[in-house]
Amino acid sequence: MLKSIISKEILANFLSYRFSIIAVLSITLILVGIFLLYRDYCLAIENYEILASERAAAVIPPTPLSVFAKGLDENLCRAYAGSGGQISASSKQQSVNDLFKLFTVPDLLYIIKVILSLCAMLFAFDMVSGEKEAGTLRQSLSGSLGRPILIVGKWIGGFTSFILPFFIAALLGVAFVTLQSKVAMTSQDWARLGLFLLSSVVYLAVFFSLGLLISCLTHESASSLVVSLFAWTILVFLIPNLGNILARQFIEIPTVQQLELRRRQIALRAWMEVHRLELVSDRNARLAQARAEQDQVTEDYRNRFERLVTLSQGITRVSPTAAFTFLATDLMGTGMLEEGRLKNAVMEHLFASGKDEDRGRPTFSYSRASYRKALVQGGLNNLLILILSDLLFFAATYVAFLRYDVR
Amino acid sequence: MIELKELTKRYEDGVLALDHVSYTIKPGEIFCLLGANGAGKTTTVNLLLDFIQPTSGSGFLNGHDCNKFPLEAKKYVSYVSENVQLYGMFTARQNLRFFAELGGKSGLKNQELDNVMRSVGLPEKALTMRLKNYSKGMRQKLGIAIALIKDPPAIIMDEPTSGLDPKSANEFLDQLRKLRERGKAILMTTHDIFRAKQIADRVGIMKQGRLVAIREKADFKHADLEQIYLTEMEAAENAA
Repeated sequence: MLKSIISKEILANFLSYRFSIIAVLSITLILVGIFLLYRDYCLAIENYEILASERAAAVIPPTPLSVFAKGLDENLCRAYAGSGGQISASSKQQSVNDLFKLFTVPDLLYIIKVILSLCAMLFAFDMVSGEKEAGTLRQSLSGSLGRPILIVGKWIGGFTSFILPFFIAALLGVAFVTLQSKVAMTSQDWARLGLFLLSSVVYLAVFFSLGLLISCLTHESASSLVVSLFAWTILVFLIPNLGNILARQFIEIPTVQQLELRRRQIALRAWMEVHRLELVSDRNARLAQARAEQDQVTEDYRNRFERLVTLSQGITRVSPTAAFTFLATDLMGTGMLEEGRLKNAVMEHLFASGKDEDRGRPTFSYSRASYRKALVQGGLNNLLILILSDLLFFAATYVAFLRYDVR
Repeated sequence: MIELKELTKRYEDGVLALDHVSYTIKPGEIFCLLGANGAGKTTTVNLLLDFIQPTSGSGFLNGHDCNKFPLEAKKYVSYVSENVQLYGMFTARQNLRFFAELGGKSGLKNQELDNVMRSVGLPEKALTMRLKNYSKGMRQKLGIAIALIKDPPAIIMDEPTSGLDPKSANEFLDQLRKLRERGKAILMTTHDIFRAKQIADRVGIMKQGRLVAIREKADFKHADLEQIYLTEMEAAENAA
């Protein structure tokens, strides 16, 4: 019976206009997005080669995986320089495609987390309530078909038919990218990409299950649609954006300008006091004290900033979209984990000798965190959140369907 | 065989929809349940199909308790609703195959499916037509085909002739006679006293959840069933 229900769901979806529209939309978007970002990647490579030949203090090449999940790669691939114990990045962006500044970068990650998550809900929102309205649910359950089998079959059949066009498009996109001469994928990259696609399936399953749950909690497909859109907006946009604002309520942190002003005030005060001192040794001691105060302020800022980031991540992880974004970008080497590692490596490179001068400094060498490291340092937690969300929504769907009034 | 024993249903809002109703429908018998809206006809159907739970009493299909062992009990029943609702994007054959598989009949050949559809009077061109292009009469016939292909001993029909034109309704009743000849126990709820008189072996008259009378074929074969119905209703009202 399970096989019959799965086959019926797949066939019903394949015959529906909704499937055709969503399939065409996802295939077109994914392929166009990958093509555009491949062009952007080529430009970023060219920029990197120029910066590297100019012997910039610290610069890393873009990863080919940024074609799929751009994340913070533009920031990561800027040229870093250092002075006064602080690092600064060049304002020159790697990407010269100004359209991306006007419109959101349509990378595969964005398409999955925003557009396909909505499509998943649009696929599932009327699987139960719509069948109730049509009367087919009553007809199906009038026989010896158990509700558990029906809901499991619906989930498997519905999700299979939803995920199929995504996989076709993603595989076509991957084939296109890997066939390009400018892209050299390592085994590490393949593993990252595989894990990214796998986590995408887990993520989309969350929204599919949520859509099905909403369908089991409502009795009209119009209500299901409205509730689904509401839930999607909260999970995809509201919580990830509110997380940072909420975290700032708990951790006070100055702006970069305020930090700079505070450092200048310390320097100015020390400078004024130094003029009143007669002994050189006293003057040097006062200047050293000022530098220590400045370092303390900077250190305090960094600590607060790290706590803010950790708390923001913790809050936003309530949304599967945020958990998936952190997981995907960290896996692909374009996330916050990589940014933190890179900044530490740059600091180490620029200031390890205790001097700021470029002379005699070796070439900056850096390798992105392996996927294992990404998984260990928070990735597994994010994956676990997605899997738990899947299980939670499906379990709730299961219970709601067992109690569903089919009349 | 379909059997109701003191079946009672009181909804959460306090409405008594079914009040200690008992009767038995034997194999080869068509039992028509008559009554106004809210009399409890559809509640009876919902209880027998385990769509709702009884407050007390039990319903049995082929000896199996409908609410304690619903999946086992529903192996022995087919259901034809007022509007047979199937999948509009599927052809009649695809629909029939799907519901046959749900009824435990898998691996049927197209020829077997087509023969069943022909036997209920569906025209040749309708066999591969999508359901969204079917008329109500054709859908009701396909509903009968689904009941036939499962071949259970009991069939429950909820207002199956409602909205059918006279020709389609007569064709539908012909199919019911064939089912009766094949020994099926048929419970049919209806408003249509005329059709009930034509087809029923017994009629049950319901009012506000109570079964106020059961009449044998002999009682109404040569009498005005409508008059009997009105008399029983009035008597029930006076008694209340």
